[in-house]
Amino acid sequence: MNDLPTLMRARVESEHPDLFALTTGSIRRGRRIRHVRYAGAALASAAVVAGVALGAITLAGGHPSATEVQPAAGQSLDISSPAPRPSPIPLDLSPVTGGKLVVPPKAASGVHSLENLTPMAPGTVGPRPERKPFRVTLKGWTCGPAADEKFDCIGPTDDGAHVVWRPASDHADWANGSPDKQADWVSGVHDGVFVTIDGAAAQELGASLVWK
Amino acid sequence: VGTTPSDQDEFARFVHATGIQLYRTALLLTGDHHLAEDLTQTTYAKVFASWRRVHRAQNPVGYARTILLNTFLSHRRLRRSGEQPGRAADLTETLAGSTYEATSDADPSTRVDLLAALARLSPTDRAVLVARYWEDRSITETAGDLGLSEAAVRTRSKRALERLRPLVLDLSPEGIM
Repeated sequence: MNDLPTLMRARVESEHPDLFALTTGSIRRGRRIRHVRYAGAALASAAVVAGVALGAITLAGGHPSATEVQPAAGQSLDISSPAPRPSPIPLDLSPVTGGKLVVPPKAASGVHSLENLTPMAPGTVGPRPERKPFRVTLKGWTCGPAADEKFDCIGPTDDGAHVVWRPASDHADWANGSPDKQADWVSGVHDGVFVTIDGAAAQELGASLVWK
Repeated sequence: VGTTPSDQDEFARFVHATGIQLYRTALLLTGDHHLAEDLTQTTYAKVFASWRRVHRAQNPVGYARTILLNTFLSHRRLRRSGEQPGRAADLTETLAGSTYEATSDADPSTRVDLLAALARLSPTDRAVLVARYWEDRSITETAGDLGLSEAAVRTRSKRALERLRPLVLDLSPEGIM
């Protein structure tokens, strides 16, 4: 008769991983994780720049709906606003984000419209982040931008969780645990949507949701 | 934002110093060599991605072990929910296959029985046993590592040992002497 620790040691004592392959593979995959993190951070920064830009226009007396927004190449955002205010306000945010906000002089017509609002050109600053209907507020966790109504979060020890918001019409399937619709945490319905979370700390993350 | 060659050297030394133990832990958790390699590499990749922070931590080995356990449990959850397509062979099929070649001097029948028996437990129960009896973690530490209450660790540990006992011929009645 043996105790469990003895049996475990006997079972694995001769097992030796390829440490060289383990090291090189880990470094390669670790770099990829970093790149994803930094890409997410860059996207979030771009979103902040856009928010600051619109806020600045609003504070300057313009109305967001009276703004023609045409993102330029790179991480710059040109706002062509023939605003009724007397002075154009060139803001250069490059020290912070590398982004640039340019408000050109008044247009002749003085008419403002969102008709010319164009989506971000592919390859400029990445896909337009979706607006999340809620925030994840669990301390130590950071969530990336949303795309296709889902996003990923990473915890203080690099654990991951996958967060998805779904239409209320699917809630019964998820809440009742259909074979192909299971999650570690399922929220109630809120404003026509509900949330599922899979991964580490799903319960805690779910409890931390703050709906907007 | 990258690592310096010095960082990489230190990380490589860390892997060489801890890799065997971490891999064996992963093997007990997954019951499969390929899954264990993948789990170990994923763990070290996460460690490398935060290497400067980990390196400064008081207990980098404990940090890596916690990542390993949580990655194992997260991976199982994701597979179960269907959000992440399973790329590894189903564990049950793997266990029934040719995974258990004799690679040790230990009694092959005992080794087959132990890993196969562990694989029949739920991932969380397996993680509890591995933490308690392989990593020699206390009930309090195991509870902290796995995000469970101490009562849950005791209950799961007792239940898992009861399930293992009829499956592992050499296992003493107490599980641990």
